[in-house]
Amino acid sequence: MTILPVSRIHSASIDLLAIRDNAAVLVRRAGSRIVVADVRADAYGHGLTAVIGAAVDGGACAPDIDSAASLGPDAKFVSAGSALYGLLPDLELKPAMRVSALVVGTKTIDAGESVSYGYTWTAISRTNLALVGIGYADGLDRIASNRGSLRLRGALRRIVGRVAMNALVLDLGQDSALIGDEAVVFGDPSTGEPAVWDWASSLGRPSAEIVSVFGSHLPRVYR
Amino acid sequence: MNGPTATIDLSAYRRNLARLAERVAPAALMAVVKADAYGHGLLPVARAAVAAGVAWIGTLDIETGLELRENGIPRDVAVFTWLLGPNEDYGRAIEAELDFGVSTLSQLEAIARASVSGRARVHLKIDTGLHRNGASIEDWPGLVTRSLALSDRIELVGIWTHIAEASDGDDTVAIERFRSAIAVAERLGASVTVRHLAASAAAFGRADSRFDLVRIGAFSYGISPGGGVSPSSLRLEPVMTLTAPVIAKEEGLATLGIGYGDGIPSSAVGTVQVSIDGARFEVVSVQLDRLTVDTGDSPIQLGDTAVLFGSGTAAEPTLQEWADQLGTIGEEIVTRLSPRIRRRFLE
Repeated sequence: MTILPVSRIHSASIDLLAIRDNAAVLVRRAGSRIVVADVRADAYGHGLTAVIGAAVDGGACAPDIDSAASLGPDAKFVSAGSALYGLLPDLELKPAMRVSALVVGTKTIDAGESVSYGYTWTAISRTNLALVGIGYADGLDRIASNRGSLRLRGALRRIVGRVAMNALVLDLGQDSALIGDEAVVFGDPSTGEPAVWDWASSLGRPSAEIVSVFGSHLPRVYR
Repeated sequence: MNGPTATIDLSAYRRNLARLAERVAPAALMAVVKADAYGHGLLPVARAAVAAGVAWIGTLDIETGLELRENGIPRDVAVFTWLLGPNEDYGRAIEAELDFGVSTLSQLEAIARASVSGRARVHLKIDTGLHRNGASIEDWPGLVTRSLALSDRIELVGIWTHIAEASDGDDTVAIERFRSAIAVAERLGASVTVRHLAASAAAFGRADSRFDLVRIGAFSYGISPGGGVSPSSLRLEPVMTLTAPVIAKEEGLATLGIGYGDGIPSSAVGTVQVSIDGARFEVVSVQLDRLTVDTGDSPIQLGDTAVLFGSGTAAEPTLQEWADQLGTIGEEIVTRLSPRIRRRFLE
């Protein structure tokens, strides 16, 4: 298993037990058919080698990489992609990827003051802001500007102003945060964290795209 | 069969740098190579910048700065880092002689504590309206005073800020705030030699934004700001050409071996075109590892190479076209590309 250097500022944390357990669920549901792990695009950004290990532990088959894409709807095989990674709202499946970043700055601004490039958002009253170290170069779509939210200190906080290449700003209103607090883009919805499919649908993108892009840019940490 | 490839024209990069350096002189130019050199490939780009005589490199984070030092970027080239987390290992970074863009007292104190052999090079950041990093006007005198008091461990090299580029008027306000912060620091006894505020667009357009140093990312890669401003109108050349092979062909459709798992936005469907053999085709579907274009009756062959975007000299789409049609900026498209896409470097 390759473990990339751990960034202290942002990461994609991958729950290999979730992948193993999801594989086991899919194997059970497949009955007599063989479940083959779909590991294209570096296992949807989750990391090829680690995912194959976990999926095989759960009873799925490791694909022949060159032919996996062409398996098709063969009666004997069933390809497991989105379900394997927990990208579907299915109570038996658990999302494997969690994307989070740390607060690297805090600030209070007055009514009338604006935030980030182009000043696309202006505070209507005095408010607290948190600067979070994740941006579009990490896979957090720029279209989330003034639209998406991250969970920080127990609540969803709206992104205000434009998402920059490596940072974004959250509006905390009268709440406050500390440098080093963790803001969650998506994770395990059973613990109250945002779900990847909610993040994806708020941006009009497939969940598979969201995890593939984050996973290929963020340092991955395996649990 | 070849996979998707980003071809990086380092000679175009060097020509862009030379034109920009001439434009901003006598201010110096920092080549910004954050985000894997905007997806162009960190080390070849940084080495090209140094070979072209650039004396400042901006990496964003400490880890990337250390990687440059470990790969032979010489100590006489300043390496500027400014995304500083709460738990940085400043000791190694100071040993590697990195420069730090500091916004808070706690960052300053952490750097001073780690600075046991020699002085750490610090640039203090003032917030002039962007409201991301940078000390507020209220906190500024305290930050300056403390860095001067730590002068046995801290070398106060620079004062800097980031501006919003919302409008000329807003930028003028930010430049005035920056001048005031410099004046405050000087009254407190600071004598800084490197004042920097401008990134690509301001550095290009406004002489009064340049001060001693400008930080150039986008324009060095030939990425223009959009809104009708093309690279060629700035006398800049696009550096990256993105290609992918035709891996299947049937019934008027060609499938290319590149998809959203490689960083192509799924919103490319119905919005952007690719070029094959000089002709343009609409993208009709984007999947994980492939995308499909409508080729009609064109004689496309398996194994042909499609150009997704390039310099535009062979009538292919440009990055600027993609950005305009996707409603974003070129920077997002190139930084989003997967590191697994092969980078091929032309000297």
